[in-house]
Amino acid sequence: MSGRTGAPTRERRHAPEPREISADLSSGGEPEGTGLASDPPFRWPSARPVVTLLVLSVILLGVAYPYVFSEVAEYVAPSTATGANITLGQNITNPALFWMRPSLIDYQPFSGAGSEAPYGPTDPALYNETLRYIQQYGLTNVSVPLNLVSPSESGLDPDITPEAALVQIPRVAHFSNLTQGALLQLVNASIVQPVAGFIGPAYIDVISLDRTLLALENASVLTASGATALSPR
Amino acid sequence: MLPTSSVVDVLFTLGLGLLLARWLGIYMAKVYTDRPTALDAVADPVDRLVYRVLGVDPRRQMGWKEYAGALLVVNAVALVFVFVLLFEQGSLPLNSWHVPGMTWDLAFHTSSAFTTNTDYQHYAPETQASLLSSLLGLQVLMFLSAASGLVVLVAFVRGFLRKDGTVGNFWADLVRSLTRVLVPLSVVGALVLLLAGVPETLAQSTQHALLGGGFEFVPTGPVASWESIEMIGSNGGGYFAANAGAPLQNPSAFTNMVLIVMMMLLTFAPPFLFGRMVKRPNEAYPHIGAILIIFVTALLLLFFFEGSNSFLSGTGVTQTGGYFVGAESRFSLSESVLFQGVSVYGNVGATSMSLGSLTPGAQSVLLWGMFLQCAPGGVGTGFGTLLINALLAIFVGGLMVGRTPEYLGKKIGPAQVKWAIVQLLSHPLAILLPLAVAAASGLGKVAAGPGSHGFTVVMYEFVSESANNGSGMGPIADGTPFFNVVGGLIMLVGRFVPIIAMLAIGGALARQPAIPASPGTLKTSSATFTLYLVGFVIIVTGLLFLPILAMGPFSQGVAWP
Repeated sequence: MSGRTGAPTRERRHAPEPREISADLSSGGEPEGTGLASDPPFRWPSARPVVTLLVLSVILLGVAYPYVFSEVAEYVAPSTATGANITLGQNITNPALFWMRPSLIDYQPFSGAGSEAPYGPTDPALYNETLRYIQQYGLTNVSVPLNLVSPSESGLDPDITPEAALVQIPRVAHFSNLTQGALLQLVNASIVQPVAGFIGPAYIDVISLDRTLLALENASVLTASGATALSPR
Repeated sequence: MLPTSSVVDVLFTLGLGLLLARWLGIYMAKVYTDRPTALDAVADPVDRLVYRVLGVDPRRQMGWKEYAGALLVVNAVALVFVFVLLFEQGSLPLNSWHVPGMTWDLAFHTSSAFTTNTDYQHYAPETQASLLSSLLGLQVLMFLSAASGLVVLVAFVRGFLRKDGTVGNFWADLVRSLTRVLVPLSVVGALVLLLAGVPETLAQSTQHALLGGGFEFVPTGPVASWESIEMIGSNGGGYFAANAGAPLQNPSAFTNMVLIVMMMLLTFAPPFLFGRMVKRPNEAYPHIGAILIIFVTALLLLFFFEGSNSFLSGTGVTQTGGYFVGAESRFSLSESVLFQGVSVYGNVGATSMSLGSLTPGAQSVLLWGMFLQCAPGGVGTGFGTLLINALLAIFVGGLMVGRTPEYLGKKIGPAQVKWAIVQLLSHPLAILLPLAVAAASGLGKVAAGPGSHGFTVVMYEFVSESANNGSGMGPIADGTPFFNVVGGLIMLVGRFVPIIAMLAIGGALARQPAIPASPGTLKTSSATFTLYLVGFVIIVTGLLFLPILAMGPFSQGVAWP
């Protein structure tokens, strides 16, 4: 084998020590070369380690690990351990409030479905759906940020970009008793800035923006008429 | 192209991930060569106790066949156990969502998916898996499959160190992988996620106030502890159907960054582990270099392709923040894309944006990562794949210049090349045969729709399963017996054929005496070799897969108006 590859002398010079060769020959080394050890014998594992490993894994990794952590969570992060504090997208149709992005799962957290769009990136359906969303959001004839008229992955995205809030201001002002200037201030004040200046985008949590808005507006806007004509879906 | 803050963000995240991965690789080299580490005081007594319960002698060295046999039996038994658990979950406790038992084909697909580190989910976790199945079944498999990947790599690498034909003790490697690597990392990871606001509770639902008054029930659970091993073990099966896009699984851009770093830890650590284990730290650099050249190129392409979708230009929308369809607003587009790049190229398979909505260019880039499987690829097996590619590259290169092909003092002989070819061909075979069946029988079209997008979606599914990636491109009605059974088989082939090949190559190397380096030896720790390796990997992959890439996303792309 070594003779065919162009460096026979070097191969011989660096051949393994004689002692090893004889040891390998005596153990019946393979025909493809001297100096090869033979494969150690094969045997199946016995049942005990296989079964006990599985039992131990289930007890320690399946039960103890999450159990201990759920206990720890109640001490180190009591306010966030249940997940009740995390805002989720909801179906907001009141035109006097800011709206969320459309949801392909109808904002149902227990739908259990992933929220994949039933169309690809170059499917005419994507184009038509986008136009339909633009219409539903009452934003024809203006430049619409894609964020507001596109579904999210989770279908529960509670956030929008600042531009997606700004573009809704004329409608909110029309249906509420707040001026566009006041709403602009409110939107600007509710922008969540990037952590440490670079982690994350600037975005707006629609739920908390709308809660502030509700507190400012008087109760009458909640029953504003004409809501259904403009509501998403 | 990207705003400055995003550039800082991406570089910071990648830098942090690489730094920690390097540290981890060096630490793991100590673990697998029995050198002292800081965790010994705690882990040693635990290990001894476990060995006693298991009834094994951790010092007895095994040949590759015995090692592979033990690994296959452990995985098979775990698979059967979880299959039964999923099949019977309807009549078992801890099921407050009243989830019925899975059908046999779905249970087969799901247990195969988690055994093979793929974690492809044909089921919706919220409605089709009970807490009992998730924790006692699937979460245990997430640990075991990650540990299996690690021990395979370690046994493979030991081939370069030994000449008596042994590759290590399977039980010792498995136990040490758990007690010294996976469990400590998962505990730290879960703690960080917990503090960053990810839920962790054994309750299965919580109440959220609705804006218009009233409440709605929202699914919750031990998400932080689950997600920690999901990411660290390159598993990628979400606690929720929307995976890392779900607000309860990934509530902020900060947790998104933490998850990216967690995914990078064990996928980028192996080159450093390898360099230290073979006692030539410089040998890490051609590998990490090759990985980074491919990976960073892929990221740049992803950022470029996701910047906007020109298909929508006539609708009057502005895409200043990027192409937002299927992405979440609390992450910048570069963060979503970085997550997706790391997840798919590291064969984790978690998603934080919906892949079916990605532009055709981005879809091609992700598919390419799963064709490669080695930049960096899943825990253990990803780097094993790269090593096999390196062996083949050296073999081919050695023949071209008339030198004895050898790597780190070991000749690359017929046995190594034979098994390397088995590994190389198992991937395209496991993808192309089922894809041909799905296309010819019309089953693919029924599930995913017509045209090149439907073809891309079915192809993505099989590629993801064979690569043990687990990310899914939708929409696809893949909960059918055909996709469950075929998918389960693809995952098992895509996992265990390469694993057997890696162990066999390790065993073949381990039977050879070391040849001292000579002037004729190819210098592998060089920039030349790094570039050669990149070229070799890209060309071989291109030859295998470009035709189906052309039929899928490429033809979607040229269909643009």
